Amino acid sequence: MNALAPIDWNSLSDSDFRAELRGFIEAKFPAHLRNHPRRIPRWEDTREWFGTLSAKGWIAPNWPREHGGMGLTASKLLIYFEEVERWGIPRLYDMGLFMFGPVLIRHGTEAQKREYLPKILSGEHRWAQGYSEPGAGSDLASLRTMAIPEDDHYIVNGHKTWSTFLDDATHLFLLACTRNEGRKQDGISLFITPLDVVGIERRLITTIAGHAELGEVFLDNVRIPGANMVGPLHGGWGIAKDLLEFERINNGSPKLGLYALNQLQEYAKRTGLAADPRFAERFTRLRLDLQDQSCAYRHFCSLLKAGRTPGPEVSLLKIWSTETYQRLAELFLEVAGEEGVEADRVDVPGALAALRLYYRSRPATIYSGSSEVQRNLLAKRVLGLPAPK
Amino acid sequence: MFSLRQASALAREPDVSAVVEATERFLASASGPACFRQARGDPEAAVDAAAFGRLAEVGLTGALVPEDLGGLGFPAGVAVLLAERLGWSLAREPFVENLVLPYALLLALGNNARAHALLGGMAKGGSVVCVAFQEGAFALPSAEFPVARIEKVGNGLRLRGRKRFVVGARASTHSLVLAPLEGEAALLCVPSGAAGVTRQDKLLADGTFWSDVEFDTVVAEDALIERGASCIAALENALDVANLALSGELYGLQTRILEMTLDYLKTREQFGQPLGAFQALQHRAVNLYTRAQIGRFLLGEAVDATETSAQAQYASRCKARTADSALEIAKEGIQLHGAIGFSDEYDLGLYVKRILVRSAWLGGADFHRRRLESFELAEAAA
Repeated sequence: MNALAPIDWNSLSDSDFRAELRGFIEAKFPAHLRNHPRRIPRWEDTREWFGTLSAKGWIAPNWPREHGGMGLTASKLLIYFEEVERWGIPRLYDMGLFMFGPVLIRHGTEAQKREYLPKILSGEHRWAQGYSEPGAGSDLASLRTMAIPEDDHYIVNGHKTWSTFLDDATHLFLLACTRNEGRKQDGISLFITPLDVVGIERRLITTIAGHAELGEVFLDNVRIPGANMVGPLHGGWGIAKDLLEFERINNGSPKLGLYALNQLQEYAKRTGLAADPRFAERFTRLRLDLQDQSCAYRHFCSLLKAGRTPGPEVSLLKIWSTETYQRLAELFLEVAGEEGVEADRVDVPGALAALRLYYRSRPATIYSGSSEVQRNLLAKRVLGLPAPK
Repeated sequence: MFSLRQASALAREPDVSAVVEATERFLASASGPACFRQARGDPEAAVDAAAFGRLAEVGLTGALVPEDLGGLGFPAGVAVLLAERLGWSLAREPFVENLVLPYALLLALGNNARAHALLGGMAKGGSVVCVAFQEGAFALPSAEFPVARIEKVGNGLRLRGRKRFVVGARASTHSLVLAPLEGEAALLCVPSGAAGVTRQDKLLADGTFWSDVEFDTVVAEDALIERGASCIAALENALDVANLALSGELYGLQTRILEMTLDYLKTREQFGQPLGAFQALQHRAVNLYTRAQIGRFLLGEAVDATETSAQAQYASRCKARTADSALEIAKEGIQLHGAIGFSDEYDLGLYVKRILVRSAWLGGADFHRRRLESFELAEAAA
């Protein structure tokens, strides 16, 4: 396939598109990586598949075609996710693909786009997010990392934490204060930096699943060129919120739940549980919760595709998606009984491990704004409910 | 916040918007909670011939009827959009029962001259038709009916049996009755005033009525609209359309309760604060909002997918989703209002009771989830 004249995948029928994807995945995806023990396998494990998709032009299904993406419509994007999850393909280093890339396409300078977008697509640059700090989790605006201008650079000092992908990331996008007076939200800027520069240290954090996929970043007089600011000076909060909206749409895709549903369904078939009407009743409820979520997902994706911002309403999608995902994992753990809590199953590649899914689903209601923060946002910005006196 | 316009392409088409807006104007002037309250428990209020005249003026009696039969020729999705407005307004007009279900049934029979003649009369607002098919709790139609029977007699067709839960019977000039004839399903059009048709009206929770109808009557042979498996297929199709419309109505009812509840949370003060400033209540309100929104985008897709092969799936998905969320929002609406929500003088209870009745009719959430389960099993087996 000629990468310079990409195919308009949207012109295929849904079934042709699905068949094309399925055929490719089944032929090319390395079998030993299916149903991987880790929520996010190390880069070394998935780089080959990343490269395969990248060479095929299929690594960025959501990006516009002119930037090297597939430019899929919402319905085609859903098919893409369905096929990926159906085959139990693990999560790739996708922070650049689903979060940072779309923001750069919208807010970056031409030079930034030229420099960074192709390297996201090739996997050469792997991004992590520097938002949370020890004193700024759900209350993100109270962050304290400072960026002080010096010549044509900024000198950045601070401490970031809970950065996913930090184990094998090469680059960080981060929020820092660039002004000390006024509303905090009006003095924050967004910067990008390689992680291997002088003054940056990482410390990995092991999750309750036993994997060191998160980490802290210590910034000690890190010099960031002024050209590495994304968007206007002091304009980082708006972009960060924009990015969070992409993140919420991405978290609102049914892919998390589909994976859980497929695992549970497979388990129910193998064990004969599928024939139990009480199980079937509970399973069907959750299956419909997931299926109906797709309608809302398609709606928000189509807003995005039409160049409109999804708005604060998108929080409902994140809440629904992540809580449905967790309920699926919890049902799996409940019906798995004693075997479900045997820890040694978790690390067996390809095993249907309820415990793994249970662990894996926990952070979904915490990251990118906890469910409680999402509910506060909806109450205030969408329902117009009053603040306490 | 709850409009279906953003969720459905059909809803944004100008001629569809026009009929929805005309309906809104009609409802604002001549319908709503006050009328609903006044008509509660009054069986005579259901037979309001003038109401059908008014509905005909707005275009509601002919919305789904093809243009060559004198109607407006809208696709079935429009019935969902109209029902949503009726639900939101707490209209007591018998829309789904008399203006959607029988229409969808006759239309689903295809090229059938008797069905077309009947539809022409219905479009003008002269004939009002209900569908009598159940003999017990709701189940999908089949040719096996334990009681009712049609048999050929010298001068016509004799129908004997009892049909239950016939919605819209009081206002009807005719009933479309499903019963077997010589071992196969048949659809008979029986005039309501025929000798040997006895109606027993049942008062429902919301103050409206449905009826049990006892038939022991002889009708002319041309009352036989259709016979054979097509009757069952057409009825199943019509029930899908009716359930989609009911889902629209349930969505409208629940969003109105949600609006009333949000207004209340913003204005009612306790402990020196508006109730809505308490985070515990904010989060409960958000949960209700979220459930309604999941229904909204599902319903929007379903509106655009009526008359496609996906219609049956969407019908059961919508009914299960909107009935569940309507019942949840109804009881939470009472709770978040406190004592006033439990009082008869406050309108909230009218909406709550309407939701109880409409979600029970033509299969509740559990029935429709089972049906979806059977679809899934059939798909897996194929």
